[in-house]
Amino acid sequence: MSNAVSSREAIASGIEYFRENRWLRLGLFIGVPVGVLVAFFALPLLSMLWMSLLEEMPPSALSLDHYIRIFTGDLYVNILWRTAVLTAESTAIVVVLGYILAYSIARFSKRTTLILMLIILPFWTNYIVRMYALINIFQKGGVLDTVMLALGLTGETGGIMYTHPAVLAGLSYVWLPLATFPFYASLTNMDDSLIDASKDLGAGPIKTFFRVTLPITKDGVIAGIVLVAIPSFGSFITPALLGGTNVLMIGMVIEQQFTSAFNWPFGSALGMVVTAVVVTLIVLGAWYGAGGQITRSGGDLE
Amino acid sequence: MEQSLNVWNWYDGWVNWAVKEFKEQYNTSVTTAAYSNPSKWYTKLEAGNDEIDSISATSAWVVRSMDNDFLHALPVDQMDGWSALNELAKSDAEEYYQRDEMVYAIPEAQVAHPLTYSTDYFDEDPGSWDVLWQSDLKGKVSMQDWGEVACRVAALYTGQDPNNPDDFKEIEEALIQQKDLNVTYWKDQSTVQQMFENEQIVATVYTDGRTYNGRFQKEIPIDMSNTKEGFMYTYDTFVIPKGAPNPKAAVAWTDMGSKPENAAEKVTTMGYLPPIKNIGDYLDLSDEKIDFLSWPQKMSDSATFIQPLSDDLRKKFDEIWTKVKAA
Repeated sequence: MSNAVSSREAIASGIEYFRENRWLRLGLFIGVPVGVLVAFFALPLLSMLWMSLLEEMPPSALSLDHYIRIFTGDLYVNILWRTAVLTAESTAIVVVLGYILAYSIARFSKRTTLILMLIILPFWTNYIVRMYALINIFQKGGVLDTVMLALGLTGETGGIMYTHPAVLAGLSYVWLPLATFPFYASLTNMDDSLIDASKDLGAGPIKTFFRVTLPITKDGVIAGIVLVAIPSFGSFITPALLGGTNVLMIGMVIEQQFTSAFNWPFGSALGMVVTAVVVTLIVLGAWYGAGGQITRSGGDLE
Repeated sequence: MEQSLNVWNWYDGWVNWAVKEFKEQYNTSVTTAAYSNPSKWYTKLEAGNDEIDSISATSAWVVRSMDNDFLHALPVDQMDGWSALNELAKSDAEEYYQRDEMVYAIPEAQVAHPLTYSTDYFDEDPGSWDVLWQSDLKGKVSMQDWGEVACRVAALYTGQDPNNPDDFKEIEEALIQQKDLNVTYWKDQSTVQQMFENEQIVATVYTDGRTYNGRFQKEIPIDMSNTKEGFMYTYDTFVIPKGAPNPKAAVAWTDMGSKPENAAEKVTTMGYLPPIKNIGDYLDLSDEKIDFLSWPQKMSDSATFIQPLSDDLRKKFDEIWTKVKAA
């Protein structure tokens, strides 16, 4: 009995000590997340930066040669540009499809949870397995061919494998859920009476969408764009498996440096460039999401 | 001997068979892992291996691992598999996998990278890498998405030494010229068989093992060509990495796996050729299959060992391949 009392007292005094000790509280609530960020994000990034500044595989002298190689010739700048174009195309497709999907769920569906579950379902399957599923659909004589033949939309089997549309379809399929969820969240948070007010004031559905719905859900749209554009920019498996000879993304070149060229420093330098692009995207996303100013609250609504 | 073993070997079909044999023989529990790219295990060796006991290591990665002192020497004198190696494999192993009279890798499969062609499309062996450059085969051929292989094939096509080419511009131009003829640059071995099956391609650079597997086990109408310009080959080898937690069990696994009668199972399970003398004595196969598997003897004049590339040459090939893909 006395043991139980003393342990309760010890716990109570521990809690009291924790409440009174501001530095301990700060250490726990800020130190732990900061520690995780430093250990799993900052240090690996610094390690990649260090590797990118090495002339050869370590141990080696420091050099800026890899960055000079990237930015002085046309080759890698062109690849970066082509990657950006492909990313923009796939992101645009995902945004349009994702918004339509989210809008339909938010406005017209009664089985919201079920549909959202179906959207996220592919995420439970391995990425590579999903790519092989797409190969079976897109290949010559595959599911797509069978359906199109049955519907009379085509007279011969050809499939769309190894084409630009196959890569766009693959990227869109993979990243669609990432856009749909923020779109859906912003649409459900919207006050429906604003749409009614717009209609009462004489605006048609299209004008209401572009003047009311879209601006109000802007934050969700930007979040979706950023979430889709970032992984699309670094993609290498999808274009390698589904694309033809004219689809080269920067992620494929980076993978090549680590898996076959044994040139990790150059791969790291390319990785740092991609990181810089991604950070720029996030900053721009945050900037526009905040109406041109970045604040902790996400911008001033007034 | 230790009672557990961790094996990394990408001949998964053979490993499944071998694990049962090994467990019966040594009563040791074996965990296995397959991998898609050698960089997966090499990274672990670089970080300081304390997990993997035995690896099926391939070509340049073996030499690189030896150069960096990542491998244990093997007691090959006590292994039946070593004395059973065919002439070609023995001399290659002594030249490339031996340092200071110590052997660090024992070949477990002899892997050729020949021109594989559709026997439905071609009435006879096309016999030249030219087919990958023939404009009338546009949209019916494919090149492997691996700079080293593509550049070496282009070197053979342009009459250069694939291990030490001297005209890189010619290789680059040849590959750029070839680019538009391809359906795609293939990355995954299994999709190649699908492309042959769907009649999407009629010729590509492939491996002898996958060609055997497609031809005899999946009945896809393909065969490997004895190209007049020659073709490249290498080995997958058993190695024991430093830091292996169960080195004795790893030696026993290597010994068991390289014994001719056990190595021969690699043909029936995977279609790959163990580099042992008189392979036919260990297998009950048709003459046609035995004939296919005899390429190291039949085609030894055409076969060039894939020598490890110098860092400069590897960078050059990588640069060419990136330029070609971006062209």
